[in-house]
Amino acid sequence: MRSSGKTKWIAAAGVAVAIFLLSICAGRFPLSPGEIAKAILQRVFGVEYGLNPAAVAIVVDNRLPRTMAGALVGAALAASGCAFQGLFQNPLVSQGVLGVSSGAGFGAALSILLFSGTAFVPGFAFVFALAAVWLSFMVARMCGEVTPLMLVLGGTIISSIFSALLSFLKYVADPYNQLASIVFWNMGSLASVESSLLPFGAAVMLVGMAILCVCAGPLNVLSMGDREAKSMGLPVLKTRILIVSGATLATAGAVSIAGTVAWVGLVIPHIARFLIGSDNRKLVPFSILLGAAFMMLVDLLCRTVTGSEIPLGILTSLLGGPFFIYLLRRYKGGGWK
Amino acid sequence: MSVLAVKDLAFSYGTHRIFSNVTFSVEAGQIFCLVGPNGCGKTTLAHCILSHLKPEKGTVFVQGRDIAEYAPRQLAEQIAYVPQNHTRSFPYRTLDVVAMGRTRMQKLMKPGMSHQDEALHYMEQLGIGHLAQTEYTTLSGGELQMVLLARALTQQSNILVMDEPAAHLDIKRTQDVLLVLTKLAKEQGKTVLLSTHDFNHPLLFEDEGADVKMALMEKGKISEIGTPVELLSSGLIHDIYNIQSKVLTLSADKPRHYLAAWNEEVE
Repeated sequence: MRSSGKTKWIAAAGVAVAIFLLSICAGRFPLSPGEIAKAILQRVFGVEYGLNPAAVAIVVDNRLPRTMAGALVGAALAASGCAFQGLFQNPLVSQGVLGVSSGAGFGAALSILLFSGTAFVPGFAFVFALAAVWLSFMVARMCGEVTPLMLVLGGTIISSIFSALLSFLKYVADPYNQLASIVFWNMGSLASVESSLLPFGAAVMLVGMAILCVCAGPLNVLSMGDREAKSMGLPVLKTRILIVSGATLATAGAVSIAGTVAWVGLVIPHIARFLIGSDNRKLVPFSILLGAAFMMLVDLLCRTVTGSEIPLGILTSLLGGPFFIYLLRRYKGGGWK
Repeated sequence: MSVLAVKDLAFSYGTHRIFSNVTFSVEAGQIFCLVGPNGCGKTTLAHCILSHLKPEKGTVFVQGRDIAEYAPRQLAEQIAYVPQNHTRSFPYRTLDVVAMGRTRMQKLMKPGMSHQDEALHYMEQLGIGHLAQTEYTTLSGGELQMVLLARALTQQSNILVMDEPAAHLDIKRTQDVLLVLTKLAKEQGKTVLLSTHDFNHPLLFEDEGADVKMALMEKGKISEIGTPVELLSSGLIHDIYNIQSKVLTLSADKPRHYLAAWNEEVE
């Protein structure tokens, strides 16, 4: 059993690395792995290989940051999806449940309207994503104990408020310019990843994922239910706040870079669960690996399948949905029911 | 000093009073059985003692200290809990579930191999070692009950609180669990507090030579506390349940007590 577990890790890591390499090589301007290595050396160490400067720019300024951003976004969404599913003891929830996505969507739209550009979109999306979760938490706390049920209820209320506000912004937006940007942003994309914003988003996502990896053991205990977790000595509320914070940071970081990307946070943890089991100490890191691979693959398809860019959210759902159906059939609904 | 002392405890859901004026104390190595009809408040009382519910009035003392002052980790060091009902959400490996009993001893680390060994040790002690590698969502209700007991034992606390420990168990497993509890109390000085419907459980503890106290609960009050044979031989059962009953003694190698009960109308 142990060896087959190890094989799965190696296989998943291998797939992720292969997709990473493929993603940097492929595109409208195909490059060989050798040329990629040369381009990176040329930029970093100033070694001259006589490579076309355009090729160097494509690799170092475009494909590399974009692929890394994709990997991080997929990893962060998958990890926080795991955390939310464990937290609510419900395999059907994803990060949307506490209002992260609708908060971020509203923030992005607001900044598009206010500044008629996309420069402040990541910052606004990030801040409003955090605000939405914080408000959901406050609503839950208002009614006494912060139970999973109250959190879901708070999240539902806050999400619907932000959705309504987003609809209002869409309604008043200039339909030719602003509305298009808002709609496009809400379908998710890595096309406009700006290198200057990447480090901040990446740092936030990494911190979030680190919190989730460290809290994976307590997350197992928490999924036994509040009373049992408490009786086993877990500080339930503190742990829950810590995990919600980690998941929110990871999601908000991802959303601020790639917009709202559907499905990944729901489906990847499930696929990982089929493959590696439900123990969050394995599941969270494995989901991170799988999420990164999946997102790099989807983004690769987004930018290579047709002449123009396809929004991420469309392909994640189109690919993830049927694949999920296949897995459900194959594993007869999985082991959790 | 008592290990566990309950002083003038009361609890209500809104205006609905569940119990009041509950006072008792439990000594180290004692098995304390809360017995009473459905809806008498014994489960709610257990949850107040576990600090899952905040009593409206009164105090629960563990080792002389108010449980409201305990941090979760400290309280878990004192009290372990075996729930009657458990909702299973994800198919964890059974051994991992049992090893969660070590939560209070670990910081944010993975449980090391020693924790798994401990977990396996208690599973084997309860005769469920063969379930270690299975997914716990596939276990039967009785097996799950044993797993949750093993998890509580793995916690190595001084006090064990159980709600209807035999609710899902067959006749053999019931005997096994009751004997394990007797052994824990007699040999390791563990304190056990359990709620039950079955009068034969306290009788068995007494026959096995454990220090047993039985509290009869009725309509949110404790009406009497005493030793099982003595209490069940009095007229209290008739007063509470409105049935006839008699404690029977079967003599094998050692005397065994059983409560036989029948409806008045039939007689």
